[in-house]
Amino acid sequence: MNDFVSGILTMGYVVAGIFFLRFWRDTRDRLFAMFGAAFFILALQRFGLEFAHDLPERTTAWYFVRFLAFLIIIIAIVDKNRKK
Amino acid sequence: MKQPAEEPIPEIVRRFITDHINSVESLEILLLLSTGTIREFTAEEVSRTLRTSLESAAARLRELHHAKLLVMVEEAESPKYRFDPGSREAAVVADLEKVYKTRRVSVISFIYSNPTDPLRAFSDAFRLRKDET
Amino acid sequence: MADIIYALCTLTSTVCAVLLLRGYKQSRSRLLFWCSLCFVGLALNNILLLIDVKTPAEVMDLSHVRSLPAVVGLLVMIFGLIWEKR
Repeated sequence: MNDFVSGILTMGYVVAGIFFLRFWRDTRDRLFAMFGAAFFILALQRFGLEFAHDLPERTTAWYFVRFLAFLIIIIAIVDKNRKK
Repeated sequence: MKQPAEEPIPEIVRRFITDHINSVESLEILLLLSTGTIREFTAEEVSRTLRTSLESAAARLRELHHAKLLVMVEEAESPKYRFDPGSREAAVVADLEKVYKTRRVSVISFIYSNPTDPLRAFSDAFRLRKDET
Repeated sequence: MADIIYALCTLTSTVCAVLLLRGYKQSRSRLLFWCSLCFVGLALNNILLLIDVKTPAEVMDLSHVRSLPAVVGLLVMIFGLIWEKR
């Protein structure tokens, strides 16, 4: 069950990432590129967890990766609000 | 009234209109500068040619200049503007002109029917201070 | 350390959800609504992660359910991305 859910999530993140990349292509708005990157990184994290085999010392590293994704989103929001 | 052979306005043109054109006046001014034989215009000349008010002509010219579609040639009391053929959007403007010639009513309806572009809305949602354009 | 990370993830997701919902109210653009639900799901996912990490396994083990809000949120957003006009 868990693997199944994990698979759906990974795929979902990838698809969302692709959509955001497309929005970036259409609008050239950096925000979309960054959101796309964030979702791809979330997918990567899910994928990486598969190989961690639930060992805590391996899984915690992957949660830093998760944070990286959200950090990129934070940066995107900050970037959008900087006076150009 | 819709003819079966009618194709929708091309996506790039639609996006250009959404991003830069909010009135027929803007559109006509842009096309006047980009396709006419006289290339440089002051606001007065535009208002005379298109029979529109001086203030709104001046305002539209400023907007188009701000959008980097026009370059300012002289910055006197009465600035002269010229279309920038090197601008990234020059090709789209050419397409827009073609579409406007053949599908005038559709273009006009699109300009005014335009609901907020969802992607623009998404991006703007992340502006914390709403007073910025 | 992990707590801070998960808390920050939760906060970021929540901020995104709130901003998108506000944007939806202002623009009536349904796409934003679907996307906001994804971030709600991610926020819930992060909260459950935080809780799961803090509570010992005998008391509560959320490992099977904590991803579900994210799944639902993501699926809803993907539906919106495909369905709504762009």
